[in-house]
Amino acid sequence: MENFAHDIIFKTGFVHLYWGHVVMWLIAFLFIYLAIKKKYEPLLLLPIGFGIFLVNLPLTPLMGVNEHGERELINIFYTYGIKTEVIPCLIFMGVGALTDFGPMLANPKTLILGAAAQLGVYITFFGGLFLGFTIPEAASIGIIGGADGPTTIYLTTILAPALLGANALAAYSYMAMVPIIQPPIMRLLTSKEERKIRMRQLRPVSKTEKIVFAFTGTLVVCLLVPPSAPLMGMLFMGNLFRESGVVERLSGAAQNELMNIVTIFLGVSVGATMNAEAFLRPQPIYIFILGLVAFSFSTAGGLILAKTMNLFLKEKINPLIGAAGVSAVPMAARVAQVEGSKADPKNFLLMHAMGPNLAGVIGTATAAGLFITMLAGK
Amino acid sequence: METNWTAALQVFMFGFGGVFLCLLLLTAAITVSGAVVHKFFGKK
Repeated sequence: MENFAHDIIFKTGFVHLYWGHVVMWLIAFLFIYLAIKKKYEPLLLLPIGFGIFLVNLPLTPLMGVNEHGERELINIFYTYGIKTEVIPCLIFMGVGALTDFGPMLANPKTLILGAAAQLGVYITFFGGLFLGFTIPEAASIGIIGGADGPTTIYLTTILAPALLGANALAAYSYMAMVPIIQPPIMRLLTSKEERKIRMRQLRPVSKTEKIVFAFTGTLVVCLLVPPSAPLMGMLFMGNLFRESGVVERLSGAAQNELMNIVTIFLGVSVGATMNAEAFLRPQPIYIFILGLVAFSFSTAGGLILAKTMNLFLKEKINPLIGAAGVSAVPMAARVAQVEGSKADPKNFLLMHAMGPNLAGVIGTATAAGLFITMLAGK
Repeated sequence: METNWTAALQVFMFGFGGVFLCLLLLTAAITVSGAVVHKFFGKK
């Protein structure tokens, strides 16, 4: 009987609590607050926040392996969903099913802005190296600048799995803060006259063109950078479901049910990688600082290339759409629209900004694929 | 651990250059396929 009493007392979580757990709870509550009160990326920050909270309750059988060698609940989600890279790819299928590539196809030169907006990825890559991260770790941190959560998770799982929690959280936190981070940089790097530039209405894009693009896109990207095929293949398959118009059930499932289910598993698994022992070190703080640098330079890269293109183009483009080359879809495009309408209330940039915005998704997945080509297994 | 800066520079050059190349090729592919679709299928 004495043993039972001893077990009950010493196997409660209270006895094993330490300050680190409490700090992590506060971080969890901050993300949950941002999700509920400020509505910042609630679909992700809420499960991530609760995942952080859960995994920082001592002795809970959630993220470890039990005495029979079987994985515990969230460890199962993590191992089979994230470690195998299944979930980021399924999310890409949902994104493809949700996306209308029409604005990008109507004005293909805006794709280049999506490439320039990867500048932050590479600047931050060097920043990471200066702070003592290895080359694969620095690459996984740099990709945060692409502003694409699933790609960040996909690349980090392959190159630097130990950084997964911090990288994913930094990516999603900054994606939520795009409307706060981008406008000052946009105003700093453009004049009011430039922000007023109106762009010609985009031509309509036929259904056939959109269907053909699912194949040309897959061919070009997957043949040039094969490691990006799991992401890009799923993206274009989801898009084909949408544009074909004959599999509405599949398209709907990819956009809604499947996307929602994997989002739950993704959020809680990413949150659960952040236990106090792993997270309360200088590295995650560096990653958050580098993530901000990455976002800022990516925004600047798109803006600067758009301004440079205007030196050569007869029909000028509004440089604000360059900032949408970071792939936070559609938030970055909305920010371009808002900033444009502040300079000229009758200026409608949203559809023009969607081109670079979608190019940013492709550009970030390509950058990730190139990192994998060069660095995986090294 | 000592950073291999030569390797890092190569990752930067081939990485950033590769992204531009990929999106330039995609731009060209969209332009050509768009023109072909217009010629054979019109605005459907």
